[in-house]
Amino acid sequence: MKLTDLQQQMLEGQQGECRAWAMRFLVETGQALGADQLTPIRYAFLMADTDAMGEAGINFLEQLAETEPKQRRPRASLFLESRQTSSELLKLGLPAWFMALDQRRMAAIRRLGCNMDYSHVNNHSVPAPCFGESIAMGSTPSAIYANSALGARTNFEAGPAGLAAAIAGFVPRWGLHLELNRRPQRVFEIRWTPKSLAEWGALGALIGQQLDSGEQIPLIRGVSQHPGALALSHLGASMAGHGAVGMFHIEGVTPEAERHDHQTLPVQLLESSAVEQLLSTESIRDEALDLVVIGAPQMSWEELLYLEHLLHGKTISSSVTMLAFVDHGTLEAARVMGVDKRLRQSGCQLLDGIDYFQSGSEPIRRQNGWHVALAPSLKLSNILNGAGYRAASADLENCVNSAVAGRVL
Amino acid sequence: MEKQSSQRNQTFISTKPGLGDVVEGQALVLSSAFSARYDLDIRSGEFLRPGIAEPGVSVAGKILVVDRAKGGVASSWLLNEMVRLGTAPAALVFNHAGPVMIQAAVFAGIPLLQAFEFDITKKVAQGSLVRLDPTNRTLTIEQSV
Repeated sequence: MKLTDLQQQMLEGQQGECRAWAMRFLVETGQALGADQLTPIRYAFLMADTDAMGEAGINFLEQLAETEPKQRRPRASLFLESRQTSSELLKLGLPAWFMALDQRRMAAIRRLGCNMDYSHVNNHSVPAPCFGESIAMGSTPSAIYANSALGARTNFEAGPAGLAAAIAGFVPRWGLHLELNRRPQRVFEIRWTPKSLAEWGALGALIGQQLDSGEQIPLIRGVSQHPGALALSHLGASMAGHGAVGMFHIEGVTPEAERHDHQTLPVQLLESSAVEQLLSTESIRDEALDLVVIGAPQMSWEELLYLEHLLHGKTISSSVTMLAFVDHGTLEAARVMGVDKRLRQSGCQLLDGIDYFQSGSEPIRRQNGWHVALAPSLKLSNILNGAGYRAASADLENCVNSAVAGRVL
Repeated sequence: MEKQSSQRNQTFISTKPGLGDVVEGQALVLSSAFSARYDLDIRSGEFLRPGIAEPGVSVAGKILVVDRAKGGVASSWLLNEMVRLGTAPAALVFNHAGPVMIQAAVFAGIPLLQAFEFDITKKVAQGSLVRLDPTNRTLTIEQSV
């Protein structure tokens, strides 16, 4: 890999051990991934939740935070994607050791010079990247959204990769930083329109399941009008979760869909029945419901108002726990507008914290003896099935009605 | 999964650079894609998601042979935590590793080999003793089953 004088100096430790670690990481991963050089970035988003990092990852951050402040100051702006674990989960059985680790994590990340905005780029409360700008996105939903909806350029810079990128100010140039690799490889056609965010997520899952590798960038044909940022967010989060792909195009919607010739690519027709099948609760129907959890992606203001509408005049069964994860700004608005109070009266808890699957969902399940869960996100139900739950996805209306009934409808 | 046959001293060469040092171990071949967050109990290395491996089988100390990584980015941290817990695989072999598994392997110091001109999960029999040499891009069957 070709390095500049500055990059070589950092690699050799002339700017301290922290930057030397970052450069070693970037060079080693970059060479394995086929990068020819490093490209400068303006900012990076750090995915670093307690559930994933464990004690080893947090120990590492604490050691890094002990190095000379001047030598560990990030050369690119570093934003935290993985905010705090909601303290309300302690009442639901989250072990105290998990929360103690979480506090150590947050303190170490703050000391490393991270902007603790606690926001998510898809909610637009931090400066969005520009079309064509190279950045380092640390999580699947933000990376695929930045590439697809905004036209920015990023690969998945997961966990330590995003941190190394910010500290050094560079990312390996390969993959989706290069125009050639952003071309669609597969075309999926729909002759119907998803009716809800859950269906947009299911469409993403359906496409993701059919991709053989992350290099198979899909193009979707047949979307008659722009579905909006939330739909693209749900579509992308689910597609990246199921298919490990970092970008999609939608003809007539996303900014790079028309830049490449895709007329000669084979077209695969996707029927709406396939999406309906993915959102079926058949595997757990009529079973006693323990948990309904809404998140991944976290709820936006519009979704929150729709949830309030669905719950109006209803009370959730006492045997069901219903959790809705929202970003900090949305929660503040919900408190001011009385939405939070009304949802709580119905039995739904709004939580200000990182998503449930990153918040000790497995020890909480064991503590409560929970088995059956519903979520209006296929990404989330898929992950919960790997954490010992028997989970299914349904649209928000079914989730609410099941929570009220106390069993899966 | 479909029973594979592999022959002793067969060597397979990857088409992309590998990571880490030489390692030997027993192969654990998965018939599906893999993610540490989506599939594993990291305290034991056993699979929480049904249908991926036989119940009670752990990835600890194994040479994990997999088609590709699942989506999600948590493995980038989780494999390092599994090293601390003593439940990490000894090495990773993929048809398609993807960036997250490369980043995870570098951070955790786990050897990795990826990309072959054939499906590597069809070439290595379950339980074979294999030797990985990432520098020379080779996977060798030391003892077949």
